[in-house]
Amino acid sequence: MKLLHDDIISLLANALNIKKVKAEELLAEWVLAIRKEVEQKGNYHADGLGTFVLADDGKLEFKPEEKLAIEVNYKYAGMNPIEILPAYNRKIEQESGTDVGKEVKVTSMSSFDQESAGKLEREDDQVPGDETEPVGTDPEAGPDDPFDPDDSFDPFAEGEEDEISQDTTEKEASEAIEGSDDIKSEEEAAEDNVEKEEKILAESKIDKATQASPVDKTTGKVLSPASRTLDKSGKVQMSAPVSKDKEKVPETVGMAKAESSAAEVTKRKSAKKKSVSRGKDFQSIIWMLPIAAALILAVMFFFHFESQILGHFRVPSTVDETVVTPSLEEDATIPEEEAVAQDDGVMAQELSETTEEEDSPFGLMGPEDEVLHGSFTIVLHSIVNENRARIEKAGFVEKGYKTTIWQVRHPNGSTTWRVGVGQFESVSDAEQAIPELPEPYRSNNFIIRIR
Amino acid sequence: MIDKNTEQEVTAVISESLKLHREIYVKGLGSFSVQHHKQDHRQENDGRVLLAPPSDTIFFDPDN
Repeated sequence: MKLLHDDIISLLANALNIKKVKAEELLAEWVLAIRKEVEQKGNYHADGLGTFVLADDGKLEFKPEEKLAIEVNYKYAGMNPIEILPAYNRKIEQESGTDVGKEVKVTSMSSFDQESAGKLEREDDQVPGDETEPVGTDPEAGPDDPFDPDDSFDPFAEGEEDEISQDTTEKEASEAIEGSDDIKSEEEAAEDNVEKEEKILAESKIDKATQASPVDKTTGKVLSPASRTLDKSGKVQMSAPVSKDKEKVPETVGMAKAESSAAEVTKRKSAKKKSVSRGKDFQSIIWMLPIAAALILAVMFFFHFESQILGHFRVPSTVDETVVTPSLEEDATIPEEEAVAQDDGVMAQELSETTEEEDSPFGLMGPEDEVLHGSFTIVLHSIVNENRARIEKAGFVEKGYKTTIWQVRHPNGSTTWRVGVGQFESVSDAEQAIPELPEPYRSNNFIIRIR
Repeated sequence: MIDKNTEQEVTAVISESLKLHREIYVKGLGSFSVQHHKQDHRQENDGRVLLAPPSDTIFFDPDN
């Protein structure tokens, strides 16, 4: 319906209780005032209506007041754009170092599929992962490798005493390491090495003690080897009685030397054990790093894809939309805890599980067993009157549609009741269902997320 | 100069008609109407694809 100039004059005359001629004069005066002020000041503001401005091309433009614009747009007030495809294409291009201008443009959303979006994102996420190598996985490359023969930390490389035995020990130790490299692990080789070194050292000490042992000049015999035994700590014990000659001094010197070398063996053993334990700690740390990195990546992937499944890229809305349970009868079927405490993570799991089930909660037709927050619905009515909205809902329920009704609170305090049919996992699913709707709903609807 | 009371009445007639989605023509000024925009997909410069909601907006066509 169109109100013409004469209709406005009649309405104005009735409102001001004046004659039509007078009302026409007043209206003409008002129009003239607007034109004049716009030409002089560039704009004219009419309270309750909006602002008239002069455009660059000399034409008159009108900007309605926000309050009026909201009231005119009451059906869709507070609705914000839903981001259904993030800007990850650009990220891929930037990460791969190619020209951003060559990014793949999505031209048709009818072909959009969230699964393909997920795949693309997975590919995107694989890029940094492929470039990343676990740090410190090669134990030979590390300068602190306790099993490296050239490692300066090796306690056997320190000191200048017992050069012969030490050289022998190192030689045999290196041979032992080389021989066992292909078969044993480095740890086992190191342990074997330590044992061998201990044995060799102990033998060399015994030999030295033998060389240093006194010769009984009275008999001209060397003291019996049986008189020398090694205790558990590797110390040489002189159990046999020694000669009481003046030649006692070299014997005690030899004993002292043997004792000192045995103590040294003990020291080296403990030091080597320390180094081995340090090496084990170091290796465990090296192995823990990639595992920890993998865990962090897994957690990031989980949350990333969870948001992708639900399309949780909504722009914050200034309108408080509260989903009202479908009907009084259905209230009992919805567990309150589930309706209240459902967070996005649980929803993602539920969405993925329920699609596999035969009686899926998604679709256009069928009973609405539960309201799935985060899913999409096709809104067919946006009504101020609650009773009328419930009547419309009942009509759709009778026809077999999954029907949801909820209340929208607008910033200006007004409320609107929206009636939606169907529950869909994605926007594309909802779009595919629109042709199944009868007219006039087929051509007059909009898709919204249930929140 | 038109008084404020008269202006309020004029603007009230126009705004009430617009709320009812009626088109109004004011001689010498232009016509006011409500245009419906269907929900549509649009792509931002950064590659994001948005589902823009439908809307009813006021359209003004000035008289020359």
